[in-house]
Amino acid sequence: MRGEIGRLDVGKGRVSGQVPDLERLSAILKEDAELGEREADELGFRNLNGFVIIGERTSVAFAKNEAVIVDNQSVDWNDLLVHYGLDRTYLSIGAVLTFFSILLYYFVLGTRLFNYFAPEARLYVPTLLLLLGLTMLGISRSRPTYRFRK
Amino acid sequence: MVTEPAILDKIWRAPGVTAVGLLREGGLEVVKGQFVVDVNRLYVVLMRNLDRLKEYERVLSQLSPLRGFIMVLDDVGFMVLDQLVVQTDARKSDWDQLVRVVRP
Repeated sequence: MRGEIGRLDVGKGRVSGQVPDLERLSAILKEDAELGEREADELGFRNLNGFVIIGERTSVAFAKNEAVIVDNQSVDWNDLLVHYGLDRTYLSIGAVLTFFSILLYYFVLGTRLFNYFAPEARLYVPTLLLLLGLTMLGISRSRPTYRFRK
Repeated sequence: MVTEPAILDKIWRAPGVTAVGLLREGGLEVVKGQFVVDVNRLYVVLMRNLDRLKEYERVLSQLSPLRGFIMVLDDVGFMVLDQLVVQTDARKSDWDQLVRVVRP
């Protein structure tokens, strides 16, 4: 991520980059993740989808198990909170449909397997599949999700 | 200063912003819009958070001096920066603009 100084996975204890005073930091992060959930509940919300502590030059973003330390000057705040992730369901269905469509095109155009059907009719199904597959691949890219959703 | 009307107005017109308030001694003053939760309850939670953040300041000296925090609850984002409290639609807001408007 842009502006990232260090990253800490509290659950697995993995660290990358520079994370000072690791033990104390993971201890308060763990405590606060629980407190955050309780607070969300208190205010009538269901989930805590991200928390960023803003300092003068450096900030820390965290959620359930992961914390990222970033430099204020170079970080993209939007990128830090929301990202346009891939929706796995749409992605995999889209990929499978596109694959089958190409496979069918090959059978129709390259082999005699479907010669029993009328020439146009043979192309309807793979074209439809291709359109559907590509649409799903398109949708999968544009769904915004919270980076720190637990 | 963040309390200047021009700055408050600029924040209010930023994308996704649904309410703007100011932290005052003993309460949260609503400047524009409407907060989706009870203002008094929100004030208590925000102040408690600010208090807790001092712990981080102690552990991570780079954070000092502390300026505030952002929390996203469901799809509602709350940003506390210096005295300013901003409520936004978390998916629509331009966080970059919000954070940098106060002190670029």
